[in-house]
Amino acid sequence: MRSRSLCHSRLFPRGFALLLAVFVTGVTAHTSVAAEPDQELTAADLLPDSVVAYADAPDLAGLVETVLNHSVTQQIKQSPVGQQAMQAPQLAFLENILKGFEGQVEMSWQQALKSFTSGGVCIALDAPTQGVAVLIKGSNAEDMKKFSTLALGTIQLANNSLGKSKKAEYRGFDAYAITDKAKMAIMDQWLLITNNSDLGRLIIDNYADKTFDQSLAKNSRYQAALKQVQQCNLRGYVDVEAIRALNVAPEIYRGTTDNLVAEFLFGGLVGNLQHTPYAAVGFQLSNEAIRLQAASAFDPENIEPRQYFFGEDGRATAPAIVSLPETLHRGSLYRDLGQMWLLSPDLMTDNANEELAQADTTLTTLFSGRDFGEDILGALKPGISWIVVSQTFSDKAPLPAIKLPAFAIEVQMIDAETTTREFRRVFQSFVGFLNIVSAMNGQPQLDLDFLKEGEVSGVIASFVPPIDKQDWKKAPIQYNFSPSLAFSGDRMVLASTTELATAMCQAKADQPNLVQPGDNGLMHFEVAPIGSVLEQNRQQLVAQSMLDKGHGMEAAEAEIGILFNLLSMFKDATMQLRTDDQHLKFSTEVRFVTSN
Amino acid sequence: MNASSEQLFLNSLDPQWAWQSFQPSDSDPWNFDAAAHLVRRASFGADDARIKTLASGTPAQAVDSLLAKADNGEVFEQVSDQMADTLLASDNPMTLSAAWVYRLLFTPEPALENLVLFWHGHFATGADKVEKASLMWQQNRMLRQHAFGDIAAMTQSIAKDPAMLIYLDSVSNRKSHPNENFARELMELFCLGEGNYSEHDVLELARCFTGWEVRNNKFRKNRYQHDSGSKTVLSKTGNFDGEEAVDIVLAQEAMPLFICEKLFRYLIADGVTPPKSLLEQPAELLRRSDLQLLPTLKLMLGSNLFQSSWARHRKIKSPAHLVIGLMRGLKATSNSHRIAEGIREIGQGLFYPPNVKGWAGGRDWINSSTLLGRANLIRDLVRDPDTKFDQGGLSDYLKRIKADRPDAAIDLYQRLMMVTALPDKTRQTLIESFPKFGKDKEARHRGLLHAVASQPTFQLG
Repeated sequence: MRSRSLCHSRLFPRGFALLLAVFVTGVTAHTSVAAEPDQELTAADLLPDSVVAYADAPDLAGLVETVLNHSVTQQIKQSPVGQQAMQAPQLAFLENILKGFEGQVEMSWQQALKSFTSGGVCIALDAPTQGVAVLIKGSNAEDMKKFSTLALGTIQLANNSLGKSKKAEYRGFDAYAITDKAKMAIMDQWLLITNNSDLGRLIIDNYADKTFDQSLAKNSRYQAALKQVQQCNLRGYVDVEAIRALNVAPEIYRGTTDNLVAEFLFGGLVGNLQHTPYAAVGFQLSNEAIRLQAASAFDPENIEPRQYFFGEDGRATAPAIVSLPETLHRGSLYRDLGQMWLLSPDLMTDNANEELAQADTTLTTLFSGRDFGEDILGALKPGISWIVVSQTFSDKAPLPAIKLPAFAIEVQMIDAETTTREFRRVFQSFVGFLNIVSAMNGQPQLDLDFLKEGEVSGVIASFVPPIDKQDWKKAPIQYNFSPSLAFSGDRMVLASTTELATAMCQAKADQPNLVQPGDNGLMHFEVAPIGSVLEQNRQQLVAQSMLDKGHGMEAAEAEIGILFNLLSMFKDATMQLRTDDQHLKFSTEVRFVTSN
Repeated sequence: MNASSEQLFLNSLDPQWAWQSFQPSDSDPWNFDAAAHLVRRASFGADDARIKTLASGTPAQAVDSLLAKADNGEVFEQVSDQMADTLLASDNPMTLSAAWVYRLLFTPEPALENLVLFWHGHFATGADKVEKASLMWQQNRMLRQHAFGDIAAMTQSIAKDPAMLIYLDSVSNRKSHPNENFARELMELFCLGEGNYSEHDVLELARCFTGWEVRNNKFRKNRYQHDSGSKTVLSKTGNFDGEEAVDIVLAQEAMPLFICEKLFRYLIADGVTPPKSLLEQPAELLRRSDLQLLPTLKLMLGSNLFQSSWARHRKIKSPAHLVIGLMRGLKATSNSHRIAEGIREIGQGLFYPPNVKGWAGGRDWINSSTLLGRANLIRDLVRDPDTKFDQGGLSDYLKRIKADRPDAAIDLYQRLMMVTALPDKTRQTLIESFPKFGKDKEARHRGLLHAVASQPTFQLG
């Protein structure tokens, strides 16, 4: 009989008397333990299939070793901050504890960690018992016994209860009450810690009876989820369907939001939570990169009302992104803006829809009575891409004191001939409006002009330079901008500077590898150009540090130097959202600068 | 001593004795307390070591040392200007307040900065109306340039200062409608005081400034709008331009007396009106020095009157002197934005004087609201873990200077920052309460400092 049948319908009362009741008395099938532990057995084999959240580290010692030997760790250690941290009394205290531990177990702490966790470490949340269990699988029963005894002693020492822990036996295994709530049991090379006696008994029964047919490992959702994060150092699984059924955090599954930007960026992800049976997350660290990935089951049949997000077939690909020198960030998303605007009653809350209706009226007026959703956004092809590049400033123009990078957004028009004129006119009106507002606030004025360079045409605006050239040396922040709207064929680029608008229109989308078929969205950051932009503003950063921390200039320079050193350890970062036949996948990868 | 008896005391003072160089005696020694009093009034206080150094010389040497250019003054000036220049990019005057706080905290020439604050209150200009941070900073630099020096040059500059002209609604001044604002304030608030000019003088003086304008945030003379007719200002007649008009005002007998009276209130005693007979000597010195301020400053700060027991109890610390004094006294550093905001909340926003008259000072600094605000500000600053004392914890700093016992710490705070010792009972209560101020030594010391700095007697400077 499965031990679950012995469970009471409610949670077991707490306290050791009941621990005994659960672990010792009332157990009819008091069999002795399997003498030969199964080396292939995993924690998922022992956990019940009713587990709704699970996380594990298959090779914790390996992960710790990678962290300690990582080039970033080494660089931090060698930096002045790292050197200072190494002298901290807390670190000396930790080292003493580790030395004491190594003396007790007669091996280095790294070896001990490897032996203690060689079969993996996991934590699981079980829904019916509402219990949490931690399972650790060591290399052998003898070492596990040694470590467990040491861990128990340490806990008792911390609780001022050395030697006072209550001990019981269940199915031939020793069990201890380590706190009022938590219990610990040792099953050969396994260590089990749980806050719920029912769950603990269930796991021990599974192990003792070798009955794994209703285990988590046999759960098809778990199996499918784990396949998505197989190679990761840390893995997690959530039974979304079960959690939805429990009505936990219902607002997540509501499917509507009051934030238009959040809907634009993440609407599809959140929408998928309404239908997906499971989700998996994984973390992977190597010498080259950190990778965080998440996947959830995805069925294109369930995308409504977010076809604007995924495309009609659920597999739409974001537009290609152009490549320019000194690009610090670029991104691309598949989004049908017109469709999104028209679908907003299904996507947004009532309050948000009221505000959108007002905005729609205003925007329709601005666009000469053309319907903003249907005629304006609807005149654009699905997909939007953008780019941020560092600027070089000419000494023949006002030099802003704060130097910002230039940025641009690109969309494609369905009927360029008709819409070009409309957007050009609205842009001119907008610049006129800005001039009125700026004049009221004593701010610099924009001068409008037209652009025509080969295939590229458009409207450009630039701030009128200060009359006194003395003022050019530390010009206001506005002088980072020369707002421009440029057209090239069916491409339309709205840019913060004329140079970028022109360059973007002239550039070919020559990075076919960056956006792959199936990529719904992609964002990429290059660290070196980010560092260049910060370097341009180093004085600002130093001044802020001086004011915020009361540093002198040298100390502030040193602090900012640390920031630059940290940045220099990273190469780039990429965020990607993609769909395939069965999954919606989100991944983030940060790559380090390696000596190679 | 009530207000009227104080006035009687002042009226009866022998000016000769009052302005004589302070000669230490057994009853009035030149010691740590006397040096601390000088440093608190002439600047923003100093740490234990600096005051000991000043006390080891003569009173005159101490005054000279405080008013002298610092060896590293130019380096600090460069760093500070560079910081301000970068902050001007945001064009936010509130950020500039923080930049000035930074100067107040770290300048090697705190007496100069103290005088810049004096002139800022004198030629009061508010960023809330001017709005342009760059213009406020430009004026601040001009005040710093002349703070110890040439009052005539400073007044000429202020007459053409865009921030001042914007603040006084004088960005345009046409001959058909002379703008009286600047003309009136020049005589009433900046140079002469009420009763030393007539309404006719205001009208005539305003004519001298016609054509003086601010365009594109710069001063300019519009010759087509200048009234080139004859004017009679303060009994002088001629076709005066603005510069000549300022010279006429500066040449008035009342002018040095007016400045000396304001300096008297700023440095020696507020809440009283010094008799003209008492001010004649420093005013005469100012006149003889061609309105160069330094000799008069030395006279005042090195005088018997300045070091008298009467003068030591006659000032209430301004918010800036309260906070900056505490920070400098204990070599403390913290977030300058936070300090600037805190000082503003208790009545002294740097670059934000309340009106064209500047801060009234004296008892106006204190009311039930600001007294509580002072205590809260000190608590926030002192309890903030980001507030460092000599780059570390307060308890470590006190230990280094051998003042880490609660009684020794109170003694230190009294010596550095207080005119009057705490009452014995209060002192004993604070010592006994020390363990309750926090869970560890650092928290207890910070709590004790907050408790001492919240005492009524701590507000006297």
